[in-house]
Formats: sequence, C-alpha cells, structure tokens
Amino acid sequence: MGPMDLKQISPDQVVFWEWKFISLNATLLFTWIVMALMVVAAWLITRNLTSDTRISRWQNLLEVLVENMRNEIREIGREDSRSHLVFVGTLFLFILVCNLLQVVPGYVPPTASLSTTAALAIAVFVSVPFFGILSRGFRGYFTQYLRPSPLMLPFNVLGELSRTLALAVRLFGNIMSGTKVAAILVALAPLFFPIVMHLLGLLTGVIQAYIFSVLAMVYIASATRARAEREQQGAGSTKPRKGRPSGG
Amino acid sequence: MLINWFTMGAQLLNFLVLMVLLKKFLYDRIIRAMDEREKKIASQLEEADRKRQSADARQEEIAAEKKELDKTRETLLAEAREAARKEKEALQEEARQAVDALRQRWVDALEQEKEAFGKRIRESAARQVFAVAQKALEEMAGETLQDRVVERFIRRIQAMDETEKQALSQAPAAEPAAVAVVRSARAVPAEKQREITQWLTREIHPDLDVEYQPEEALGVGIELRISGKKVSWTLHQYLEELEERVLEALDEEGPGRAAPETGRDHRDNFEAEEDS
Repeated sequence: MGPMDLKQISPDQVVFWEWKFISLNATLLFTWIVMALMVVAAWLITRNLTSDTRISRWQNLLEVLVENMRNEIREIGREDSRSHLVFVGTLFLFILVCNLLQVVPGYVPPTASLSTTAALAIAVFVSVPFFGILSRGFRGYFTQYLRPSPLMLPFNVLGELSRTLALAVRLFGNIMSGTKVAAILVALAPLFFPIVMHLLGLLTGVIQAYIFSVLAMVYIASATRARAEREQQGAGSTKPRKGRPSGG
Repeated sequence: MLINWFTMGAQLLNFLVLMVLLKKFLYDRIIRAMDEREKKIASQLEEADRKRQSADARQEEIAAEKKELDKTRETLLAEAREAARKEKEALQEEARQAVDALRQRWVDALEQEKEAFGKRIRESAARQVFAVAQKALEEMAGETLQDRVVERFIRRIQAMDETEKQALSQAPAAEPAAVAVVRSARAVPAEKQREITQWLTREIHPDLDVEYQPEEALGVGIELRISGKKVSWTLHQYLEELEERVLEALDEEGPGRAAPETGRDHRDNFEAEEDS
C-alpha cells in the first residue's frame, strides 16, 4: 500500500536518498508537498483579493480561517498581535493540513514523525522566551522563573522542558497511532472499517492541530501576559515593588 | 531512537520558511483585504449617515419653508378678506350716501311742492272767502248799508287834510267850468246830496257844479270824480285791500309754522315706505 510498511513506526525510516548524515526521507518529502500545496493555494487565492463586499468563496474560506484564528488568539492572549497570528496560525494550518491529507492514499502525515513534532515543539519552546523577552524585556522575562521564590527555578525550568516534550509526544503519538491503526485495519478488514477509522483519524487530526496551537498560544500568552497583569496590579500602590527589581 | 536529528532540524527550517511564505502570501494579504473592506464599509456607513443627516436637515428645511408659506398665505388671505370687507363697507357707505342724497333731494322737492301747494291752497281759500264775502255783501246790500257807505264817504272827505283838498281843488282852477261827478249804484238820498254839495262848494270851489249819476258797476260804494281826480270808497276796493293784507300775513307766518309739520309728515311717509 503506502511507502511504509507496518513495522516502520516513523516516516523518517523511509529513506529515498542518503549522503553522510543528510537523508531525504518521506517526512521531508511530504512536508515539502504540504508546504507547496499551502503556499500555492494561498498565492492562488490571495492573488485576486478584493476589498469589495462581494468576495469569492475561496477568499471567504481564508478570511473565515484567519478571522477565527485572530479571535481565538485575541481571547487567549488578550492582545491583537500579528506576530502571534503568524506563528500560532502557521502551526495550526500546517498541522491541520498535514493531518487532513491522511485521506489521500499513499500519504503519510509528517506529523506522524517524532522529528517533525519535536521540531514544532522546539519552535514553541524557543518562541515562548522570544515573545516573552520581546514584550517584557530580558530581565522581566527571566525573573518570572524566580517567582514565587527563587527555589522554584528548577521546577519552572523543568516545567518548560516537560511541556515541550509533552507537546511533541502528544501530537506524534496521536497521529502515528491513528495511521498505524488505520493501516492495521486495512490489512485485517479492507472494507468499511478503515473508513470509520479514517473519519476518526480526521477528527483526531483536527483536534490535535487545535490542541497544539492553543497550547502554544497559552504558553506564549503566559509569558507575555504576566507583565500586563502585574502592570494592572501595580498601577496603584506598587511603586517600591517596582523599584526593587530595577535597582537590584 | 525515533528522532532523526537532521530531519528535525530540516523540519524546523521548513516551518520557518512556511511561516515566512504564509505571512507574505496569506496573512498580510487577507488581513489587508479585510481591513480595507472594513474601512470601506465604515466609510460607506458614514456616508450613508451623512446623507441621512443631510436628508433630515433638508426635510426640516422644507417643513419650515412650508410652514412659512402657509403663514404667508394665511396673512395674505386675511389681508385680502380685510380689504374686501373695507371695500364692501365703502361701497355700502357710498350707496347709502347716494340714496340719502336722492332721498334728501326728493324730500326737498316734495316739501317745496307741498309748500307751494299749501300756499296756493291758502291763497285760493282766502280769495274764495273774500269773493264769497263780497258777493254776499253785495247781494245783501240794502238802503241801510248804502246809507252807511255814504255816511262813511262823507266822513272821509270831511276828514281830508289840506294837501288832499288842494289836490282836488287844483283841477277846477285850470278848467273853470268844472263838474264834480258823484257816482253810486243806488241813488244818494237828498239830504246826503245836500251835505256833499255843501262840503264841495265850501271846501273845493264855490262855482262847482255837482252831478249825481247812478252807476251799477260800482256795487256797494260811492265815487267822486273832479276832472280826472277821484276819491272813492267801495266795498270791492275795501275787500281787495283786506284780502291783500290777509295774504301778506299768511305769507309771512305760513311757512314758518307749517314747514316743520309738513317735513315730519314726509319723513313718516318715507320711513313707512322703507319698512314695506
């Protein structure tokens, strides 16, 4: 059936070409295909955008997607940030398209590879301090690891790491298992049941894309929003408290 | 190991590239289009609002203009009505004056006519009265009356003053053979004849020849003629004098007393005519 057999857990193991440590495997191939599809579709649709009140269905689809993502991000992050939209929205759309293309025979979702999910989790892991520092400053961001007391530093750091790991493994496990179950069922009962499992896989894929991106947004928001909350608290009576960290 | 480190790094890079491409081709363009549409709709709404406001203002303006027009029309109508009323009153007044003038003229004419008629009536009545009186007196005249006339005549000539006597005596002087003629309807009694002749020869001329002639036309009365000069007393003459004096008296006091009464009568008549 597909390029993978049942014993291969990750599409990384399907290697088309290899030179030293550089290998062109199924994960990268399908990722590029997905990327190409997304970019070409976006380009085709946004080529003829109109600001009129009558718009094409494709434009309407993209506007609905973008508008809803903006609303979700605004609700979670309490601010309307274009960079948040670009990062979290791309995460969501990429994972969503990767997962939905499961219905295409012979396709293996790149998200079924732990390398891909780890890469995305690392992107989130890096983007959290990136956006945090961008909005709160270097010191402001890192002092939050010392709260409520410096003793909590190791736990905070561990928390960062573990949640990144959880992100990666959750997505990988769900998608990989989904594809595996579908493949096994196709082998056992080629009629009817694979369709049900595919439907389940589509549902899981959409849910996982949503969970991954919402969690990423929550992490980013917690890194950036702490400042806003403290500013709200300190608006009245926290002058000495504000002076201490800047003095030390 | 499930993680291929190269693949992971490549996927990280792929993700970054995808992010950049989608930002360029998807997010920026879509958001720009949406913002533009939003702005457009907002401006259209604003435009619509402005138009509505201007329409409202125009409507108010038109309503105010209409009100003003109504007011002006009312004023004009009221003025026209007032003018018509005044014109009517003026015309009525004019007509009334014209009618009054006509009536006055008619009343005056009527009054004059009535006065003249009254005067004619009075004069004719007086004349009739005297005519009847004269006729009656003449028919009833007897010896006694004639005697009284002669007696009165004698007293008259006896009472003459010098100038009258002179006037009578002048005439025979120019004409020596003068004759004094005494005429009367009935013959003068002899003793009265003697008395008259005696007075004439004594007072006028001693040679005067006195003749007595009957004259029917004289009626009750007696006449003395001495060559053209005449002294007489007749009932006819007496009544004429009396009549003249009566008519004079009537003319003097008649209109003064009669005019108001006749005037009132006219007015009453006129008003009675108006009522009917």
